Amino acid sequence: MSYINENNENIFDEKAVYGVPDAANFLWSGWEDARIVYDTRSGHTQVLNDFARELLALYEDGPKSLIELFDEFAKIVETDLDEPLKVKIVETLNEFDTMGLIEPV
Amino acid sequence: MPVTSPYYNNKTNQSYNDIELNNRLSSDGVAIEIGPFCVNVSIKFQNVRDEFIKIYRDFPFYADNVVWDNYLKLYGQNFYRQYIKPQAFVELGMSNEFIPLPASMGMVSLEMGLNWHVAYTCRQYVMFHAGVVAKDGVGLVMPAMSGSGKSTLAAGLSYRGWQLHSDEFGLFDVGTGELVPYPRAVSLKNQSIPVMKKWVREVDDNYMDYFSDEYQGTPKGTICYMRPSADSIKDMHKRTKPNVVILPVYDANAEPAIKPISKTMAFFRLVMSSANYGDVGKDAFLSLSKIIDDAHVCEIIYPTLEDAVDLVEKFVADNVNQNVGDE
Repeated sequence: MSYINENNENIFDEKAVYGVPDAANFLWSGWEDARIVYDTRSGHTQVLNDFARELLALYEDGPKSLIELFDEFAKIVETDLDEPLKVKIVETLNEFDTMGLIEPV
Repeated sequence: MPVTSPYYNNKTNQSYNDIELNNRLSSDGVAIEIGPFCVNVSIKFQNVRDEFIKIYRDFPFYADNVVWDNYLKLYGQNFYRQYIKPQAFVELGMSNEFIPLPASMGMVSLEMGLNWHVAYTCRQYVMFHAGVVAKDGVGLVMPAMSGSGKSTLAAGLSYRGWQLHSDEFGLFDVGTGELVPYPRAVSLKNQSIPVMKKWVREVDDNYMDYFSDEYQGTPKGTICYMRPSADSIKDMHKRTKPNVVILPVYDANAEPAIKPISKTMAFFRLVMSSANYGDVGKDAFLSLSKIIDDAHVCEIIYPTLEDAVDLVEKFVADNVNQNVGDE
C-alpha cells in the first residue's frame, strides 16, 4: 500500500525501510512545548512537537518499515491506529524525509 | 580613568585632543578600539572627521604598534571626487566594492563600512541582530527586525543607567558564555531621532553634543548617529552573562503590555536574528540553547519609549533581580 498526498503523489511506500542516517549527528535541546534538533551534517535546525519527537525516536532505535513503525507506535499509545492517525504519521515521516532526518536504507 | 583594554594592556591608549585626532585621521589614520575590535580609521573629508570626532572622541585611540582587526579608509577616488563633486568612497581591508555616497553623507558610509566589517568577518562570536544592554548582572538581549524600535529602546535604556552593549550587533562569546560589548554609535532613524533627543535632554542640557547631523534621503529614511553614554564606553570590556531575552514590539496604538512567550519562540527569534548562526555551526546552536535555558523571556508591546523602559524594568525586577545576587 502507498500513501497518496493531495497532489496524487506517492509520498511513502509501506514496505520501504527508512532509518536515521546517523543519530550521533543530532544535537538536541528543547523546552516545555517542543523539542529542537540540530543536524550537524546540514546545519539545519528543526522544531519537533512531542508526536514527531516520538516517531523520530523510533527510527533512532533502528531502521524500520512503515508497517513496523505503525506496530511500535501502536504499542506506545496502547491502541490500534485508525486511518487518520496513520495518515498523520505518514505526513510527518514525509516531512522528516524532506528535512533529511530519515532516509531509505 | 582610561579604558582598560584586555588586548592592549601593555599599550597606553592616547589622549588626543580634537586637533591631534583630526590630524591623525586626515593622514595615515588612527586605531580606535571599540569593544573587542580595533580598526584603523582614516578620513579624507573634514566634515566627516568632525562628525567622527564628535561621536567617538571618548573612545580609546592608539598611536602605533597595535594589531588592527581591520582598517577603514574614507576618501575621494580622484581629484574630482575629492574636491569638485565629492564622493565618500569606503575601502576596507577585505573589500572596496561599496557604492560611494556624496561626501555630505560620508558618516553614513563610514558607519556602514564598520557594520560590514563586523557582519562579514566576525566568526569568533555568535552575532545577533539585537539590542543588548546590561545592568547589575542582568544581561538583556532584544532580538528584533528593523523598525521594531530595538535601537531606540537600547539607547533609551543606556541613558537610564544600563550599559549599552550594542543597538545592533549583539556578540556572544561561546567560550565564556558572556555577552561582549560593542558600543558603537547608535543608529537612529526617522521618528526615533526626536524621541531620543528629548530623552537625552532630560539628563543633559548639552544634549545636541551627543548627536551627529541628520542624514536625509538614505534607503532607511533619515539617519542620525548618537554617541553611547560615557559609562557604556568606560565599561566596554565589562561582559555580562545573558539572562533575559525580550522581544520588543513597537505599536503606537497599543496598550503597554508584557506578554508571555514560549522559550521555543524566543530560541527561534534568536536564531533568526543571528547573522552567523550557520557559519558558527553547532557551537551557535549549543550557545543559543544555553542562553534560552538560563533566560527569562517575554514580549513587550509598547507605544512610547517611556512605556518600553518601564516594561523592561518591571519584567526584570519581577523575574530576575532577586536571583542575580545569589549566583
